Amino acid sequence: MISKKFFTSSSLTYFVAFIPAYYLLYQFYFGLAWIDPIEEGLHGFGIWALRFLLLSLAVRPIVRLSHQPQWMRYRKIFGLASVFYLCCHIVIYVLYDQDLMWRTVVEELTTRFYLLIGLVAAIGLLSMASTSNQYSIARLGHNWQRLHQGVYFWASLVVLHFYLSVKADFLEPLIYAAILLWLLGLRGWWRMNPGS
Amino acid sequence: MALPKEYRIKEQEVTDHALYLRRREFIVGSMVFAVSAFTHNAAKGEQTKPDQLTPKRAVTSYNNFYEFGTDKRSPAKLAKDFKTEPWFVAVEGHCAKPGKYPLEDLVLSQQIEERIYRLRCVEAWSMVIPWKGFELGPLLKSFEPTADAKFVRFETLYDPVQMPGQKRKVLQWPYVEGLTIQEAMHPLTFIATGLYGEDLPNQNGAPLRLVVPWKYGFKSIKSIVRISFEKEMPRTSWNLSAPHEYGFYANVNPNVDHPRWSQATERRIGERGRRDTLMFNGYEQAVAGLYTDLDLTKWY
Repeated sequence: MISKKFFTSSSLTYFVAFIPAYYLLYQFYFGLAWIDPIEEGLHGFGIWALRFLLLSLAVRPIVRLSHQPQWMRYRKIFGLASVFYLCCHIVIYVLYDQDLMWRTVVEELTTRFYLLIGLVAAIGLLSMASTSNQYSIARLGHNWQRLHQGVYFWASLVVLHFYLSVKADFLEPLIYAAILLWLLGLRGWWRMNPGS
Repeated sequence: MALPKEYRIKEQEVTDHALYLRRREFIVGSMVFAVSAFTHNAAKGEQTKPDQLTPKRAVTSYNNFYEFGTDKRSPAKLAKDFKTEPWFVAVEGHCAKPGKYPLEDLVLSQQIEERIYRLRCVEAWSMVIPWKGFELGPLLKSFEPTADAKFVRFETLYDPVQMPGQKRKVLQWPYVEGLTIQEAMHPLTFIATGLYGEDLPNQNGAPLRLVVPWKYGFKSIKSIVRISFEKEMPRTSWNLSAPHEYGFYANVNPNVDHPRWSQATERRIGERGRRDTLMFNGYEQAVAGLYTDLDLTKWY
């Protein structure tokens, strides 16, 4: 019998967090539903990276409002899931979209503002993911906090990257921008009013 | 007039459906290839790749037609019940025979033929499509444009009930596109009423759309209801939306980048890797003469 513990375990959450990835990877490599797997895959992984990033930022407010401190661990799980989607997004861009033309990749990343922003955000998020283990937490001490508070800044860059990549229909990136602003505002409010 | 031989893409070059269904093998194959890829030099898309017809399924289910949503998959779904009968085209402006013409009158007087053209989207992907239709020039001449007709302006239907994408002002509605009179009269400029030997699917711009193969796809306006002969250069929808990104001319040009991405190469839908984008989308010999006095960097 599956114990109750399993349903509240991290492994189940990881499994659930990767469900969109199973779907996206299946469609990307084998599915017939997509006409242009490169564009649809690139966009799909990018969007899910952003969604999990925002979800991870929403954990603290949810914990605070619900008084369920044990949910705090979902912040790391969602954050790591976000970085996994981000990595797929980057691999599809370099390997399939740009067809491994390194010179073009470097040229594009440095000359297109929205790509540069995406690259900076990716470096920031990867630096967080790579220091999410217990060893790094212990070793970095106070600096760990500072490094990981950068998440709001990286998230803003991610939303900006999305916004700047759109041709004319800005509704979707603006929705994500509104969610991020709301999360930021909530954090600011609690900082100024610690008692509330 | 038949299409000059050098612009014909041969029927034998058709990708058969079985090959299309195996397109993922190219991707899986390229994973293996990626392992040794660090020695793979930065060669651009191969120039010698032959043109093959893009599978019908891709042509008819992957569309930029913002009137039916900004997602490329939504036009095929949302345009299903789009009503194209009866259909009238208003002809206006500097011409001797303005009027509101029923579609049948316009089409029946024209010589219907098939033309296989490359279509290059400004987003840097491309397709090869077998259109059915007629040359625009003879149709325009039948309206007897006057000497003041320097430009031709086209308008898509505005009907937010049938075209739900128009409920939000993503672009200026109705969609407007335009050509110089010389461009409009050019023998490559085509009005499509069908593709793959069938009537034009709604999501591809039924019942009639423009096809200007040497320009980015957004110039090829769909579901046309108005044609007007004008003295001044018309303000077009994409140009109004982002003038620094989308010019009036919008000729396919690998040397002039979109501010946000390179136009030097493109991805052919259904093909692995990238290929070089050709000047005027490969129709340079036929159309370069239209632009001898034009600075293509300034007039992108």
